[in-house]
Amino acid sequence: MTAQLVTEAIVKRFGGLTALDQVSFQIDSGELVGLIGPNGSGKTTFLNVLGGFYRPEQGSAWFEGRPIAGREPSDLAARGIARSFQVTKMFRRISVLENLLVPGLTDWSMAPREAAEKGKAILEKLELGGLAREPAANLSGGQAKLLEFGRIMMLDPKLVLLDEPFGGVHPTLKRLMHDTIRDWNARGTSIILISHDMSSIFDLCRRIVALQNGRVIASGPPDTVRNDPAVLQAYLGTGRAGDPP
Amino acid sequence: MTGQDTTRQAVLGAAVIVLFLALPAFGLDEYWIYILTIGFYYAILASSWSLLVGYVGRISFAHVAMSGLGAYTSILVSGGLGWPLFVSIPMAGLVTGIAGLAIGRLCLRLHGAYLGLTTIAFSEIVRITITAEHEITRGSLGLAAVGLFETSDRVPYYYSFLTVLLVCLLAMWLVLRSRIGLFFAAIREDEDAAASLGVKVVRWKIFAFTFSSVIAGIAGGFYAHFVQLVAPSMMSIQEMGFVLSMAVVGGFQNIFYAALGGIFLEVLLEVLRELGEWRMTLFGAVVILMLRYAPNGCFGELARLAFARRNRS
Repeated sequence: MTAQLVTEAIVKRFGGLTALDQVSFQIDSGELVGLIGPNGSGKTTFLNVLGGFYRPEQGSAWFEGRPIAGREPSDLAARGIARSFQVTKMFRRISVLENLLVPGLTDWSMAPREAAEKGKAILEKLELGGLAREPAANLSGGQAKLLEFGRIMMLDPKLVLLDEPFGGVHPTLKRLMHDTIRDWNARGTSIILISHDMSSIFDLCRRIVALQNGRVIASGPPDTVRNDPAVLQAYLGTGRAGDPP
Repeated sequence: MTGQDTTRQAVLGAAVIVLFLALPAFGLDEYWIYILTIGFYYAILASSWSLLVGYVGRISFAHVAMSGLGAYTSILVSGGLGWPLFVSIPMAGLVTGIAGLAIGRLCLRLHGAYLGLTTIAFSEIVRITITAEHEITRGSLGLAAVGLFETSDRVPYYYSFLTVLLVCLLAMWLVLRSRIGLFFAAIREDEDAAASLGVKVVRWKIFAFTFSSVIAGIAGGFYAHFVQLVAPSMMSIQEMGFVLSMAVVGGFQNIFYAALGGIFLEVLLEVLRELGEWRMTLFGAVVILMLRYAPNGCFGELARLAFARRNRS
């Protein structure tokens, strides 16, 4: 496997707060990595750097051998990096299908009819087909999270950044989301998954990276990270191996 | 909105166009032909301002300044350089397009109040510069312009302005129903989400600002050769307030409703002329009430009620 995304010593500060402190990270093509850590550890900030929303003060980030730090989010989307948001960001006043057409039609070679066909097929897969013409504002919280998945699928991304996709989602929808994530990964899409839902993280990810105070404190297979004293200390204030983080 | 609603809207729109086409033939008084012609000018301004505010979600108070810039450009190119009007009026659109592009590049990374204040500053810079300058613009005395036609008959102007209005509405509608319209909606709803999905947010905001500026400039160009004397007062904040009121009262989330608002308020201004300056107070109050209780505007609300009733029956 080759490294698809590499970051070296990323530093991001907000005033006097160092949100990311020398974060070096890499993900190989087709890998599914969980990013964990207590609140305020820098997980979302890291995704915002990778997605082009924050420009790091120091360090470098490379995707498929080309620099990405400080590039526009739309450029990164065009290069194959797609993301979801911790607080769902729907286009509320347009229809569910039109929400999917937005990313589809950013590809100027795709005709509107073709984008609509693709969007409808994705909505069927996500069990939202019956809501295609509804305003997105009418969706429930879980359905809105699925809609974000659908928009990501329209981009056929190479790397997906998922920020707390399971927050407040009904178990039935969560299973559908798990299946979708596994399906993307089986097709070779790399995924970085942030979640406080540890059962989902341990169920889905083959490697986990733990952050605390903007620093990487552990990285490795789930069982290794689960028993890492630094991770236990960060989550529970105890270093006893065997306690779940 | 259902497909049936869209058809009904199209039929209604066609009926309104036929009505306006037929009015002079039914012996409409020349005074009211003049008022309606001015109404068509305001309809172009209100609808193109709505494109920016209602569809892209970005406020601008520089719209009448763009119209004024277009008016002065066309007069100076036709009167000063002696170029024909079919060149000077497109030049008005070109100059305001360049101004819109420049302002857009400078300001459209700003949000909310910052963007609004910057456009006010631009508007005042243009107005005060033209007022202070005497050699070329004759300051507050204003500039005289040749007429579009050699006749004093108002009817050719009426049909010309109606045609320009329809062409502008068609151009805006074509943009809005294309993928660009969808990008506008995505930007209005959530810029970050739009950018993360590949929408070039800044590029499309600048496009919208430039496009609406071009339309305002062309409207200003035609206006100059209708009233045949333009002064810096056409770029005042009060004038901008008129356009804003027209769009809000008509319904700024729909270019057609905003255009109707422009015509409706211009006619209403004349009907209520006896009230003098109290008309402005009344309009201000109506705008506040509309924003609070009928954000879709009076035509938007009427359409919503009409279609809801038909869909129930």
